[in-house]
Amino acid sequence: MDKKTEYKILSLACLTGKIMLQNGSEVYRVENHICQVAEYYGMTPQCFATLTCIIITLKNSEGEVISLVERVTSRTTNLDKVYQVYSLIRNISNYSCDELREELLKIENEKPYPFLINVAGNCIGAGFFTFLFSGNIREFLAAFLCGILIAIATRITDTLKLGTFFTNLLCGGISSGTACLFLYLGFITDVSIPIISTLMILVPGVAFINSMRDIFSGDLVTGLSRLGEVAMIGTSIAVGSGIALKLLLNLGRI
Amino acid sequence: MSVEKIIFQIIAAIFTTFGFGLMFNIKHKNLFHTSIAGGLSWAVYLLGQHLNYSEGLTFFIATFALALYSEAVSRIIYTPVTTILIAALIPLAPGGGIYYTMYNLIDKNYPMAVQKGIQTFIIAGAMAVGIFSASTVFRLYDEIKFRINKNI
Repeated sequence: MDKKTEYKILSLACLTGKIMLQNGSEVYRVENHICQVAEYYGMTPQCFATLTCIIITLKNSEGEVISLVERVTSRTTNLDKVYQVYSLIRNISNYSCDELREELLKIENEKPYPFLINVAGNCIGAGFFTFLFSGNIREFLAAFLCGILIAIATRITDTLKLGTFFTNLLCGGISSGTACLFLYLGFITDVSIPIISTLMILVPGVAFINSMRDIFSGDLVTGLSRLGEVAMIGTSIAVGSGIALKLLLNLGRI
Repeated sequence: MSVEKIIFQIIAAIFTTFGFGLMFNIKHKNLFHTSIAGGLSWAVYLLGQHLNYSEGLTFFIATFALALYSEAVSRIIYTPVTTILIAALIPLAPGGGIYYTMYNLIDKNYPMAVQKGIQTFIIAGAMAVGIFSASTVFRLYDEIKFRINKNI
């Protein structure tokens, strides 16, 4: 095996891990898949991944060591890409090195659902939540509208790269603000159910589950840092909606 | 609770999970299975409430049933467990707990806020234990299957 092939395998393994990490996979799965790719092409891999960085070291048959550090700065949630990479690695024997690279690039460049479907998801999610809290149809409509606003706000803050804390602070504020507005207009009689339903869109479910699965599979560093993310998001939602609620309830004397 | 209301709530849970599936970019068969899983977890949650279990236990059995279902399905249709588990767990997430803690804090009702905060932590902990137990059950299953195959 010449040097060029080794470098190719190294960057291929790195690309696999990077796609999975950026789209919301657990870290232990990222490490497993990187090692699987490298082992399949006959190298001895060692891999360490955290939420923000992947470190891979490969050893070839002559004992030479090559390694690579890759920073991962942005993370979104696109579980379909995780699923696609998983199926690809499961059938790794059907692909050569170059074909695998092409497939991975194809997955990486795939577009997520269009914005309108994302908005619809927000609305359905927030709206139907009101029924789980035994809400009525008016509260459903209020939460439904809040869903649209939050989807738009998330989109804007993502484009401006304002960070997780501020995004959730703002969205929490929007959710209680809109609910208070509806109360002021006399459309609903209680603000609690629409606010809770809308807050549910922001609850860090992905981070929570991944942190649990990582901690229980032995990746303590990542699991705990993810748990920190959960606590941070939870606090920012509560603070944001709390500030808006306090401001508006006192302002309107409702 | 009447039967119609229970069925209505389960359907609402299925739709909620479907909406969150769209937000997390889940597609095709994974989206279908995650919606079903969402309905299932809510059904178990309602059952727990009906039997007057404590809050922690109710959330534990709901999450446990959900995680068992997700692990089983993910082995049948070959998909990562998280694609099914994440969206389906959202209906159980303690968003109400966060809200009431915050609401009581700004109301200067500190004892109530502490109580709601502890309740939220208990729910989150119960859900963690539920996920953990189910994945351990299936890890055990994989291990036993592996050993049996090795002996033959």
